[in-house]
Amino acid sequence: MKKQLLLFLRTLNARAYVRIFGQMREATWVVASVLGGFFTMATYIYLYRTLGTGSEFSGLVVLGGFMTPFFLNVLWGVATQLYWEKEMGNLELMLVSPAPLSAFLVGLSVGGAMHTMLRSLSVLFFGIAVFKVKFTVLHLPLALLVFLVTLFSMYGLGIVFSSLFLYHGRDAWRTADLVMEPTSVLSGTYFPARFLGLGLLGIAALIPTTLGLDALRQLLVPSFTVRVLDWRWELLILIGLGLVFAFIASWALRSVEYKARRDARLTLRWQ
Amino acid sequence: MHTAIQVENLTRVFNQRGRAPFHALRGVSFDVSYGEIFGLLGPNGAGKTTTIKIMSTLLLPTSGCATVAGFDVEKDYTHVRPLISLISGGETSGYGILTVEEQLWMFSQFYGMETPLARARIEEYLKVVGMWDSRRQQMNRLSTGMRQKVNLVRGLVTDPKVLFLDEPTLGVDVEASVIIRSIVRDWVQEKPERSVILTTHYMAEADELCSRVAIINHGLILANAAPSQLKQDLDSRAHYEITVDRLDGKQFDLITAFMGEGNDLVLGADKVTNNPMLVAHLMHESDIVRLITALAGQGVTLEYMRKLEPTLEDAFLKMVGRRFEDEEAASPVS
Repeated sequence: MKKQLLLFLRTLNARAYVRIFGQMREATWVVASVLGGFFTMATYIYLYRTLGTGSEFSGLVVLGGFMTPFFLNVLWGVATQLYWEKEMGNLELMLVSPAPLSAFLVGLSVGGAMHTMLRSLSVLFFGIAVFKVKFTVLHLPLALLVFLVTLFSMYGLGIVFSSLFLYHGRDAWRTADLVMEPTSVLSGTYFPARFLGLGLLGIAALIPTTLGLDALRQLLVPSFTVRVLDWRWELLILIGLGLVFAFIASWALRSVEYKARRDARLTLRWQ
Repeated sequence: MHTAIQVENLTRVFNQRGRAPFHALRGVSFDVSYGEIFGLLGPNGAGKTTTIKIMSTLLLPTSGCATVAGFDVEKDYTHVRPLISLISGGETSGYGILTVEEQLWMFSQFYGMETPLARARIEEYLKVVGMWDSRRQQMNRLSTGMRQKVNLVRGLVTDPKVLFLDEPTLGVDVEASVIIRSIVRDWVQEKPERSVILTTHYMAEADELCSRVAIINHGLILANAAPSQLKQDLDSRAHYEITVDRLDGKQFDLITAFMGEGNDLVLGADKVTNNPMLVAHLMHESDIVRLITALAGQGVTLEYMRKLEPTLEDAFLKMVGRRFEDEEAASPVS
C-alpha cells in the first residue's frame, strides 16, 4: 500500500515537473497567453464602460479573465493530453510502467494548475493595475476555498474528458475546438451567468467554472447582486460535482486502459 | 526457475472495419531463459511487434497465454510491469523541452525509484553510452542516434528483469548501432536474472547478439534455434570461393572429375580482376586440401581464397522461399 502510494506520488511529481518547469522554457508562449487573456478582458471592460454599467461589471470580467487560463488549461492541457501522449509515443510507455494512468493525469493537472496560476495572477494583476478594479478582501479565505474546490472539480472534468478524447482519436482536436466557445459562453466568463436563463443554467451548472465564478464574484466583487445561487450552495454543488467527476474519471481511465489493451487502436499513433 | 518468458500457442486477430480480420499471430510458442538474448526475426508485418506488445502487457491475446517471470501478462499485468522495460526503434517519446537528465529522471519516477538511486544510475549509464556531457541538452536538440541512446538508458535505469527491444537500431547510424549492441550484450551478462527479447529485421544484428533466434513470418514461427544451428541446418557442406591466375575448361573438367561425386564446382570470373573464379561446394571440410592439391597439379596459382559462411538471410530464404526484402515488399503491413 505504502509502495503504491509512493509510486503514485512520485509519478505525480514527475509529471507535474514537466508542466511547471518544462513549460517555463517556452517564455514567448507564456507572454503571448498572458497578453491574449489581458486584451480579451480589456475588450469586455471597455464594452461595459461604454454601456455605462456599474463598476461591478469590470470586477466580474477581471475574475472571468483570471479563471479563463485554468479553463483553457483543462481543455487543452488535460482533456486532450492522453491523445497527445499517444501521438508523441508516450502513452505506450506510460501504460507499460507500473504507475497508474490516474497518477499521470493528476500530476499534469497539478502541474498545469500551478503553471497556469502564474498566468492567471498576471491577468488579475494587470486588471487591477490598469483598470483600477476594486475587490473586497473580507472573504478572501472563503474565496480561496471556493477557488480550490472549483479547480478540483474543473480538473476532474478534464480527466473525464481525457479518456473520451483518447477514445475519439483524431477528432480530439476538433472536439476541443468545438466545445471551447460554447463552454466559455455557458460559464458566464465575461457576464453574470444568471442572464443565461433557467433552462441554459441547468446545463451550465455542470461546468464547474459557472458556479465557481459566480461564487467568487459574490465573495470578491462589491455590490455584485446578479448571482445564480447563494455561494454556500454553489460550493456544495461544486464539491459534489468534483466527487462525481473523480469517480467517473477513475472508472473511465480503467475502462480506456482495458480498451487500449483489447483493441490496440488506442495506443497506436495516427489512429 | 529458469524461464523468464513462456509463450504458448499465442494468437491475435485484429478486426478491421470493412475488411477481413487480420491474423497477426497464428499460434506462436517459445520460451526464453534468464541470461538469454532471444531474437524474433522477421519482415515487417510478420508478428514481431504484436508478440512484444502482448508480452509487455500492452495488448491482450485473442487466445493462448504468455508469462513473464512467472506472471500471466493478461491477468497479473500489474506484477509484470515493474519487471519490464520497452525500447522501440525510432522512438520519439518524452518531452522535447526537458533535458536528457530530466527526461530520464522523469521516467524513473514512473517506476517509483528513489531520486538518489535514479540519479546514480542515470549518471552511470549516460557515461556508458558516452552522453554524460550532453546531460543538460534539451531532448529536442538531439540527433536520432543520441535520442536512441537516451531511450536505451531509459530502459536500463529501472533495472528490469526483462528488456524488450523492438527494432532498437532502426534509423540509427552504424556507430550508434554498434554501441547499442555492445551495451545490450554487456548488460545481460552483468546479472544472471536478466534477459532480452529483441525484434529486428537486421539479420546481422540478430546473428551477432542472440543466443537463440525464432524466425517468424505471417504470424507463425518457422524455426527456433541458435543462429549457428539455423545456418548449419541449412547446408552441411563447406563452401569456398577461390580466385586463380588461369584455368581453362579442360583443366576445370579434370579437377571436377578428380574431386568426385558430391563435390560441386562452378567456374566463373572474379568481378574485379576478371580472373577465373571457382565456387566449390564440398562434402567435407577436408576436401579443400584435395582441391588445392589438384589446382597445384594443373600449375595454377591461387590468388585469393575465402570460406563462404551461410547467413541467417540464407536460412530465411530456405524457410520462406523468398528473400527477406522480397517478403517485406509483399507484406500486407508495411
